Amino acid sequence: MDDSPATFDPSTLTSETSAKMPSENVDIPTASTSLPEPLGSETTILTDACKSQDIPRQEFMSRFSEVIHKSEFEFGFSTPADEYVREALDTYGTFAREWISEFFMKSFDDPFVLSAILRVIAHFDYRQMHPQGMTMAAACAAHTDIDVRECCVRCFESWKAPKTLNILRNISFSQDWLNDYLVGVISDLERLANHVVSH
Amino acid sequence: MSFLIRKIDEYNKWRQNDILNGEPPSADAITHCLKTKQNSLSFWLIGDESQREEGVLAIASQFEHIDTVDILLIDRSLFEQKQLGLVPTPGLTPYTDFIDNHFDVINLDYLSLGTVAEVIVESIRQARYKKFRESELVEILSNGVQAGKVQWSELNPHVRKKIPNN
Repeated sequence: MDDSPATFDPSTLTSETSAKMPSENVDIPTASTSLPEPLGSETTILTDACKSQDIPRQEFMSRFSEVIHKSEFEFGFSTPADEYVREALDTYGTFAREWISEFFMKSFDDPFVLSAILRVIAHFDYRQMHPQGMTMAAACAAHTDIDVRECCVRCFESWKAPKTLNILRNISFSQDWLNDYLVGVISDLERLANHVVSH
Repeated sequence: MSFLIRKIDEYNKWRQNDILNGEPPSADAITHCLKTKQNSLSFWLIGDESQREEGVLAIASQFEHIDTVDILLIDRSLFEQKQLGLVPTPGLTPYTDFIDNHFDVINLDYLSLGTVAEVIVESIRQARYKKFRESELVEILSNGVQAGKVQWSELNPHVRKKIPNN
């Protein structure tokens, strides 16, 4: 068994593939660019760019799974899985979020992996995880596993986004201790919302 | 009455079985929350319940991320009744005045680890558990920095982002 520390291996994900990433500043045709030709070519560029991500996508999901299984999760502390995702986000931005989301969906019947993903994404800012992170966390509110449900609340608590109150207000749990936690987080976010409004 | 404080990671594992009505704790509770190092488990000693936040400050000031944590208070006499030996050892915390409040239960084995689990179950039954949310930890840490108990510069950079520097 390989006991080496699980680390991100950029050599498998960079250079050629990242060079094919679409620019953040893709010049989408505007109303004044009325010809259909540019729109078609932009679509082709984006489609090709997505296809070009297939190799790092597979690599990411395989490696992320490996890192999660080698990480020792303890609340209050970082794990190699946090670092792996941080580097992937730095390199691939929204693609990395999509891959996390895809891996999440594939792992929906594995509470350990699901909790691990939620613990990791809770350590990132709301903006870094928006919108896929919110969708993932919300999807877990009714999961059969209680660890997963608790991690759902932890994500929303950590992101501190009052705009997610509409999600949290429509969740309830049968376990008193978990429901108390949820109510506390809602209260924290309401306080934050009032603070933002008053300033 | 003095108490020992411990972060339990994770409380929900202790509720997998109906321990409040006599069922034994699940194996997950033991293996997740009672991970020993050199056959020892770490605790923080406080004089009474009013000092609970002091123990939490000692724990949370070591954090790399401010995550909500489950904290359990354990009546020290339970350890004595069960003949679990507590040995003072220097605690690892930026809260330097609290370093000497750290104790280890040492020489744990298969049987005595089970006894520690019994003590934890008894404390949960006594409703001595509390979940400290991020907002509460931020307040405890901020107050600790403001009172000069913990130096802001000694907190982890991720934690410092959420704690005002005096």
